[in-house]
Amino acid sequence: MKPSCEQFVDRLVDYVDGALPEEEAGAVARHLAACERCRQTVSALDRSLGLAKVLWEDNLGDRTAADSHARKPQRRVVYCLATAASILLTIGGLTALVLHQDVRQPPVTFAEAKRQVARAGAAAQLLAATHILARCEGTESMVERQYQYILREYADTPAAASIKASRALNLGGTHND
Amino acid sequence: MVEDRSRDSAEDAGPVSRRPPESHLLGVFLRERERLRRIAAGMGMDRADAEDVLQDVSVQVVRYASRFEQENVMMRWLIRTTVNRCLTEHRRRFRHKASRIVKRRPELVQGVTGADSAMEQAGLSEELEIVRRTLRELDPSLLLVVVLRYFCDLDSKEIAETLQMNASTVRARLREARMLLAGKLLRRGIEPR
Repeated sequence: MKPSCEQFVDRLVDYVDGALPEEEAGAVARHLAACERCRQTVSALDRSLGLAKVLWEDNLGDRTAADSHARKPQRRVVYCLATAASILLTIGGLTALVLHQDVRQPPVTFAEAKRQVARAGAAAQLLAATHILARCEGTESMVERQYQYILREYADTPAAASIKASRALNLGGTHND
Repeated sequence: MVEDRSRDSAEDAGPVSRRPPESHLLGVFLRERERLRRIAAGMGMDRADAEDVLQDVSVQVVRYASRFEQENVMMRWLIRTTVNRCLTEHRRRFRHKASRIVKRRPELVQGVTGADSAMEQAGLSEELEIVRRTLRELDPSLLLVVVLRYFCDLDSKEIAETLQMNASTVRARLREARMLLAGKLLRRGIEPR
């Protein structure tokens, strides 16, 4: 870098952002006209910001449809494995039942009970937040996602059971109509 | 990490002597959630991850709903809470390869960069990957100011107020981040304009 560049390099970002006073911007423009290296830096500043915006905008987009196509073969393998595993588990379970009729449930440890209580508490808190959100307009999709999240991640909690019961009730009501 | 802004829990909550209606913070959250979603996207979360982040933030909103009085304080808190939640998902930042983005979103890439020929697209994919990696490795304190300035259109003063720092610090971080990004592209080689 030329010695003369050093006094301008710190101002290049402000220059491309249009944040420099007119006089300083003029001085930078005159330097750029004579310095290829600094012109390259300005190009790279513009280019890198443009590319960063591509990445940011892409994150805002819905890639579910695009990616689901690519994932199909992988999913099929997972389904096959899951089916095979469930068959094996069923056979294993039945065998154990036949061989050990008197199999007793292992005692629940304090740590396990504590974990279950914490999970139930977290799910209840999330459910309460979702009920409050549901009272606001325009939150339908977000609320539905929250319910799905609770059903998925906290399936064994009273909060999930409450959602399922509420949905069953709604379905019953719909049939009656 | 960004400076410890995790005070977003209680002590930064502002005066609580005259409590506003509990729905006030929720209202601000609902009104501003598109901006929060943009911040999450800028911090590297994809759409699904950003939804998870916003769900967690909504829980915090309900928990601390009655602690705030002024909207600008609420907004600052919401941004910091969102950012801090994003930072806990560090491994998920910018996880989608650039080549896939070029294939999946050609209109977006073409719109921003003007590249349309196959040759240009190939070079672009390489440059995009460089920028993706740089953003992924960028210190969050630098990434955050860049996102707020260039993706959420806040000016330096607004960013300074939001993050509770000097405007000159914001400008210095913007310069550092932009020069880091540009420097990586310069090492690869770029035509002067």
